[in-house]
Amino acid sequence: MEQTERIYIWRRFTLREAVLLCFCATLIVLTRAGLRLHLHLPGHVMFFTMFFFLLARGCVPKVGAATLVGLITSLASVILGMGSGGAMVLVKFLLPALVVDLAGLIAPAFVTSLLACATVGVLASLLRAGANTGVEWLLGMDEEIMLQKTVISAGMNGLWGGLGALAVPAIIRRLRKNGLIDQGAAAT
Amino acid sequence: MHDRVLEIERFDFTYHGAAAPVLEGISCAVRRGEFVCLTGDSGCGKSTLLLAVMGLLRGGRRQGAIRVAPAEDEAAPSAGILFQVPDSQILCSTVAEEVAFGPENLCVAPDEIAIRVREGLRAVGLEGEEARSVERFSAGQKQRLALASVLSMRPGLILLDEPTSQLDAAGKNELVAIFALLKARGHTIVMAEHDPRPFTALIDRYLRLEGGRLVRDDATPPDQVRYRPKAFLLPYSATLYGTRPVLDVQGLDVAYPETGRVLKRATLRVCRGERVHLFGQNGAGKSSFLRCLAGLLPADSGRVWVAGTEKPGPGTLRGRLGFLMQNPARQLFAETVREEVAFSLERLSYPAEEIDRIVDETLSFCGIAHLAERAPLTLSFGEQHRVALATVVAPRPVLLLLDEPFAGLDFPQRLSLLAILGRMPIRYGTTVLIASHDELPDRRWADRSLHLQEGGIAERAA
Amino acid sequence: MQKGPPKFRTSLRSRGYPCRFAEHDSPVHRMGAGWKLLFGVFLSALAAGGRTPLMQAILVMGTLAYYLSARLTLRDLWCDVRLFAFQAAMVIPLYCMLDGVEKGLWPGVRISTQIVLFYLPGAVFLRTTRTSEAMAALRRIVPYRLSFLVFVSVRFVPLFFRELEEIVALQRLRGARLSPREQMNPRNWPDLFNCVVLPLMVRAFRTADEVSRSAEARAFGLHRERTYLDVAAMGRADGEEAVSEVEGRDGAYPVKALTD
Repeated sequence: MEQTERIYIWRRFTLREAVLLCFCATLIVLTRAGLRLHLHLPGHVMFFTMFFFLLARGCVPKVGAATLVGLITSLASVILGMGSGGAMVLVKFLLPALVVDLAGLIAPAFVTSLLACATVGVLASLLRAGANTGVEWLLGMDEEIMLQKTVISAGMNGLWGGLGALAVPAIIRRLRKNGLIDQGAAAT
Repeated sequence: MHDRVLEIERFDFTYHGAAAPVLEGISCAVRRGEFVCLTGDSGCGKSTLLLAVMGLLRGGRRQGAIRVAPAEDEAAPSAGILFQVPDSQILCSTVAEEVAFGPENLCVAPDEIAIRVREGLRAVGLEGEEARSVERFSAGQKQRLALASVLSMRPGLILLDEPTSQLDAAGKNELVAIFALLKARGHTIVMAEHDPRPFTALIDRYLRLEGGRLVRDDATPPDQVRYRPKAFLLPYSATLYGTRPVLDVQGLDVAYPETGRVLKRATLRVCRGERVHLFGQNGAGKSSFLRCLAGLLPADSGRVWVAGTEKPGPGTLRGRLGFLMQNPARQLFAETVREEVAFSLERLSYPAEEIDRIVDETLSFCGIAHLAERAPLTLSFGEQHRVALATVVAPRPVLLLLDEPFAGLDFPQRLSLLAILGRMPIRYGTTVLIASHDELPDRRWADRSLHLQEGGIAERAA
Repeated sequence: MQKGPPKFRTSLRSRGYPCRFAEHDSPVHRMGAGWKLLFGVFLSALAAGGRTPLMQAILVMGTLAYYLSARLTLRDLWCDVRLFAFQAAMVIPLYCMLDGVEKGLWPGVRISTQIVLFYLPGAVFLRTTRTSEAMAALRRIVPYRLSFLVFVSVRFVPLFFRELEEIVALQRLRGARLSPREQMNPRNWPDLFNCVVLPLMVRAFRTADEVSRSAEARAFGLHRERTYLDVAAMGRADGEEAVSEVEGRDGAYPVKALTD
């Protein structure tokens, strides 16, 4: 008789999967804090953020994995005093996470492809940069100025996010080779 | 009221993807108030059986039946379990929250939870610590806290999975005393333990597992394995390397803001080729001392000279110093064992053909040549331990430091590790220094035995 | 292994990172976390209305009064707004270039100030709210299954931080190129991922197994709801000492980057 695990959250994740995803959030928080102390480059936080969002999707290939990581990361950031934007930090993490999950819905095995990961990494990071733009638009910034600022900010975010995403396929391959995640597990 | 608290009937279990069952045909029973010990070597299925009793096994195939009598309190669980590693079983930030966690999940009334928290903490000697942060606790205190969090649920059966494997002698004694009290109060306890000697006075019955099968069920304690590798009989010889020092530490001071001074003018001189055992309780400063030697922790004052380098920094001793930290398997990352062992040699710019030769020789030396093409993280804990050892041995370091290398290993594995380390001075000219809170499985291994206590290092009598 | 407070780079930057918890008492510290969050959201929303000099002056005074009533210093203020100051240094010249100095200066200053006014109440929340208070507030508004995950994420930050330190130390001894100087070269980035991130993920897998078993063994998730310990019944305020472990003795979060 096969033993099956109980579903714990969002009608899809077992407790073990959910805790693994929450540790991806922990690692985002850690790397974010570490980088912030020594590198003051715009957009650099997207390097590890996108890496762990995509890795979370690879380790738990279910729709919603990245979103759960984004949600936990943003709430943990607020609790630990690491977000300067208050409630905006939720938007800043959830938007790119939703892009990753959307990509997973369209192409469930995309995390094994270098090109796909890079594309998703860049797109998700661009969207995150757009969150700040939204605020500036609400505050009434001149559109031309806003656009110029956005181009710079989005460019940096996209670059770092894309770079971070490039490392994911190799790590997924090693985790599979070492038996930690199923070989090409049926992604949903 | 049930006289039998636990009944296991022809129980088999096979992990998902495994060729052979990990448990086969297990049948036994445990009566109310008994203290039963599940014993056997690593990998025999002790922990798996406890998880099966708790209903925590995931995936896999099972056959047979396990019946646990309900607890006296209807709302209480039939069984509670204390795991081996305290750090990952403690889920909350404060002591009170942790002990309250179980009753909260059972929807116990808040004022009743407070009572249970106090009772649980009193039972394990942590009364008054409710508001304390768990981060500050020693390993022994954490394990006691984890036990309190189990007791607060008032389970009918208490399961203990290698509860003292991470603890020093003092921590073990504390837990033994608590288990004695629990037994005196009539609790039913089943403990998995590969070395049950500290608990002999408490244990009513031993269930010995071998290869997943129950081979013995009686009150006779198991024999300790005896194995005497000949290498131990060769003492340190000054004629091999003279009395050249490989390590010279003078007046080393290290202090931490939270805990104060851990090393006070520590002094040590080790000659090349010696086998040294540094003994000390948890928190004595062994790890800090080794980290200073490796250049990973700057000392507050004093002189450190290691393998020809004064005041080493991180990265300055590559190739000359090997360091095996506790839980060494955490450093593994490659796709094969061969790649893993070759990594350091590649970084030291060894020629390719030389790398192959050294890797083959190192794998044979460590007894894992048959694992060369396996993925390191698919191996058992003991095998991973050997792979990690091979990675630090491969560059033939002048000095090899080992911090708690026996944690998680059973007795035969410890002896086997000592045998390998015992041959290193003769084979490679490596000086070996082991730091541990346990005595060595065979005290003859050490040419010198030292005690780190109250910040200082002193020689111990043979 | 960290032996003292982390060292920060000193340049135009003040010590410390923005929005870290300020360990003192003030009327704002004593406010409930939920009220602070609501008030902060309200103030942030008002920032959109500061379009005239008078309105903006009122909003600036009001927000500053809120900030200073939390007994935060001008030094703290600089730490919290310096990122926006650099942003303003970009935005104002852009406006001036677009519309000329006469016409472009006020809109540039206005929008830069509005951005600061939008984010500053959030900084006050973070500086005056302990981790335990934020957790308690979170528990009230978020389902327990999700809040548990957030708490576990926070709870295991110190463990993974220690793991990160140890793994980096171990791997550097093996020859991995992980010093900050070596990591400036992208050719060495594979070492970062293979030698550090991968073992960290392995540890995450193992710990997730153990944590989930520990929780399930204690009936977590068995029922739709759960009760909570009455902290007041335990005497001393819950989490006072625990907070210092996560937030650091002086309120700083005790992280250290991959460094010597």
